Amino acid sequence: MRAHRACLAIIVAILVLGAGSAAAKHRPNNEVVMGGAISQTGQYAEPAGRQVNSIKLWVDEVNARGGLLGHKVVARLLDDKSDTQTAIKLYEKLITEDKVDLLLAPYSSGITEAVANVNERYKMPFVAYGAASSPIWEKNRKYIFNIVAVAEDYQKGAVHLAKQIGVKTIAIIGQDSLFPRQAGKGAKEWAKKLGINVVLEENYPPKQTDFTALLQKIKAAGAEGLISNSYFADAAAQLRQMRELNVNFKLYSSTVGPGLPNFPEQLGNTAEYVLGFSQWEPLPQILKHPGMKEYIEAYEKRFNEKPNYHAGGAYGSLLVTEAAIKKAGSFDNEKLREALATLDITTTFGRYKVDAKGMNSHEGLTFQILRGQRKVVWPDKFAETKAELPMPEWSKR
Amino acid sequence: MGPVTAADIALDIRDLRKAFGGVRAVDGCTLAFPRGKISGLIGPNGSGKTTTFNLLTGVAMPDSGQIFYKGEDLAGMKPYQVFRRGITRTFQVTRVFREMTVLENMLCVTALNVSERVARARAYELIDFVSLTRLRGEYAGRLSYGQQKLLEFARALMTDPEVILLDEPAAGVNRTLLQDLLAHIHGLQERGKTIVIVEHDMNVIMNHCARIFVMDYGVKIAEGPPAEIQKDERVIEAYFGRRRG
Amino acid sequence: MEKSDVRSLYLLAAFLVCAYSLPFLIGIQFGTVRADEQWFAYLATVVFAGILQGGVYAMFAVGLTLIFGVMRIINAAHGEMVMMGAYLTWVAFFYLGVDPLLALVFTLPIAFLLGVALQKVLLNAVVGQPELTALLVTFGLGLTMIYVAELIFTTDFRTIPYAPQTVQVTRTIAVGQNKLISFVMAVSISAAVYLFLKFSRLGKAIRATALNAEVAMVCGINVQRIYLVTTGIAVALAVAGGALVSIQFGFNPETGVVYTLQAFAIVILGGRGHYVGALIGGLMLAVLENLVSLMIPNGTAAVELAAYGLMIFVLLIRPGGLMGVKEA
Ligand SMILES: Nc1ncnc2c1ncn2[C@@H]1O[C@H](COP(=O)(O)OP(=O)(O)O)[C@@H](O)[C@H]1O
Ligand SMILES: [Mg+2]
Repeated sequence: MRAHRACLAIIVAILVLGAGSAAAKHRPNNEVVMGGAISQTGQYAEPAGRQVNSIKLWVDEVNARGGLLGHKVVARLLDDKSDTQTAIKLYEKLITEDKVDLLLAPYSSGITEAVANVNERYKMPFVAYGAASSPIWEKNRKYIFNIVAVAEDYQKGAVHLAKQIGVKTIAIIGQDSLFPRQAGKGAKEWAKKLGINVVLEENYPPKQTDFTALLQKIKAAGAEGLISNSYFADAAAQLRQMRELNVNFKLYSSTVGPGLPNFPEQLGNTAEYVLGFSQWEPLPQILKHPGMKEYIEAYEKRFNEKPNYHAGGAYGSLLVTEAAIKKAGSFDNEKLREALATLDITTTFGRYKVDAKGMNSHEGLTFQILRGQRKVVWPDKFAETKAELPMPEWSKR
Repeated sequence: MGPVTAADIALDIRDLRKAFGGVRAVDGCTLAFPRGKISGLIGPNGSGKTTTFNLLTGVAMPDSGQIFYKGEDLAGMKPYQVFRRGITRTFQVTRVFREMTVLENMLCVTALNVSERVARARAYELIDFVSLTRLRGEYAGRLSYGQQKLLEFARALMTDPEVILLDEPAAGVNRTLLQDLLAHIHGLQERGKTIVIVEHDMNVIMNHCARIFVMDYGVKIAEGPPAEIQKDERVIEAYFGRRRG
Repeated sequence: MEKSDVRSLYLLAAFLVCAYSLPFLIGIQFGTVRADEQWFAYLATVVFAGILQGGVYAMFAVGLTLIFGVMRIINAAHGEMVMMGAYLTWVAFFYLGVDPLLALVFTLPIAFLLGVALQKVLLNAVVGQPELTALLVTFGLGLTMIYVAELIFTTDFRTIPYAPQTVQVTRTIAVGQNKLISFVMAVSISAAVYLFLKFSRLGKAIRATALNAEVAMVCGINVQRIYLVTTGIAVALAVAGGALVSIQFGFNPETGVVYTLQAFAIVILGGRGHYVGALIGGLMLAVLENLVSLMIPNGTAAVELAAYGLMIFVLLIRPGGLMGVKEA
């Protein structure tokens, strides 16, 4: 219904105003429209869906607080079907046809990288809660702002933990796509800094299901720890096959898979002792960010689950955007851009303050799956418990 | 033309029509094949003989007309339905499974409601009969053209059919085999089967058929015993006056 | 056998020797191949795992080749049918508590009936149409199945933690229990289908229809019924494949595409409509993938390249595939 109303509002606005710039104050019902294309179907639908949850929650909350600069916020969310070309077209459409007032970010680094060219051209800024790939900010773009920790730091904690338990050799593997490759690059640099020897680096095709040969190769190379830049299916397959083949490592860390709520559930005790990365966890007593408790409660009440880091990042980004608009005192793109570039604020997600490139230095968390629960084990200041490493051998479980 | 009564007719074809685009291959053809006899169906190339067989056996759908067999109209039935009513055929251009052995080709006739053992026994018997015994295990694709015709003929007999339609059985079959084949056709006829032969070899037609039907331009132009047909002017004109390729 | 045929066989043999020794040569060059006992154990494990995997691949291919052989329909939704089988098994396991293999007892008849219905409602309309028409229709079917699965199950990955233990085949070769079970199941099911096609009367009628539907018709075979049975069996095979996938790998509504492509590659490699070819093609593909992955530096990223390279070269040498006979 809401989407229909928004649609109608846009059509009416276009009819009344013709092709002129649709500033918020001209819209009927005193509305501002925030538009974005987020994957609601396709491979990214799951993490992106949790971001959509946070967007809906924030929209209702901000309207209850009196809206943005007194305007009622209406979200216009389109589905890019997890497809880059679709996303590009939809953003073109949102900007030129629908003439939305503000942009919401898409999900995934690859899609964000492509969409960044579109919003840059139309000079409409947004906070990229769905992208953790640093090259996006290495192209002198002025209208895209980073909030989450970048891929290069996803394995930072795991490599540090490897060092702590005396691992001397690691293998770094990952899916052959932008984000995992960046994560791998970062892991390698951290290993170098800490004096750990990387004995094997290998990428595999995105749809790879059988890792038997790769695991044997890793063993043959003499790796003690395995750093895997992987999503759900590949991480799950690697772990299962490690168990089936009785291949043991002192440490196994995956970038994305273990962070998904159903990972321990689907894998049972094969997921135990696995390390994963989280941008954020719903742990107000440990992270102590302002407003966390209220956000988590509201989210849980509405969606019957605790928010994960995807949800948390999107929510934090919207709070940042809200603060920036207040600071700018206008919906004007240039004023908003200026505000986003200079703002220094701590939200439910943590601190936001970007450097000259537009990058935030968000600190991520490394967790371990212990007895079916994700427990933060690194960095020490946020650790809920001590990491249980090295992983026990399969035959001893 | 001798009179033919209804009880003596195996296949009663009335005003059958079939056009392919603008070509009226069968154009209001009425034929009555006598029961328990060997009939010949002749005519110049392209006169519609093969198409008639196709319409009779469900391989092609008639545009209009009826085909009465045992009081039932076969027009528009599926090939397997016609087949199961006891009407089988061979093709002008042989249709055998080239990638199957001679024996497998025979056993592909799965419609018969007999045990595997009986089916095998019959297949062996028929293969012997058409003198393909030595080639039983050979792939049908490797047989000579004449041998394929014999195989097809043997296969058409697997179900012990009532009516057998043979489209140019003599073409490509050597003299000795042909004599055997004809002897067997007579044997079938003596057992009360109805046989229709399309053939260009006039010796075969004139010496072995009880009754001859002549088609031209998709219609029957003459009908009668061989001696009469040989003298029929329309037939001579159709064949020699304006022969078509 | 014709002379050119013999020549192509020699050429093929020579090519295969090269293709399979290439990973070793590259491995020696880069020092990933070692001559110690431990390394041979890795190699043996990888080859053995490839064979197991190949058996499962082959089963996917059999279902695909069956429909293609009989109806000349390229079933682009085959992988989605595999995915459907995986979900059926998953539901039986998580909601009804049924053992994934036992679940086949009722998922297979359901799959067969679904196949029959599919043939009646959709595929009968495209039999005899140009191959592209059927391809588009089944492609559309596949997409529909993906969307329906997403609606019901979401895009979350699922997997069944079934038989995760290690089986020590020899002192040096270890393999997952589920992999071994899957292989045995895949090979038995494929063999059962093969024997059914070879010896039963209905099976013969199916083969006859595949070889030449026109001839089958005049042999008294009810070709329409054969089409129904064929699609029924093919869907049942896909669903059985799905059960085997579900106990080994993670899957979501979109994973079917991979299995379609794999099955295609094997069918083309082995020779269209050829069942033994599918088995050999499946084994060859899986073993080569594993060798490339084991020995070539960053070779895992190149397994697809190796797989399609193998396929293309085999086709260049023998256009009908490994077992294909030249059309007369
Ligand atoms: N399937 C077909 N499509 C188009 N034309 C056909 C087809 N079958 C037969 N014809 C045409 O119908 C006519 C009769 O052919 P046919 O029955 O084969 O003659 P016959 O067997 O007496 O030589 C010919 O002109 C032939 O070209
Ligand atoms: Mg003819």
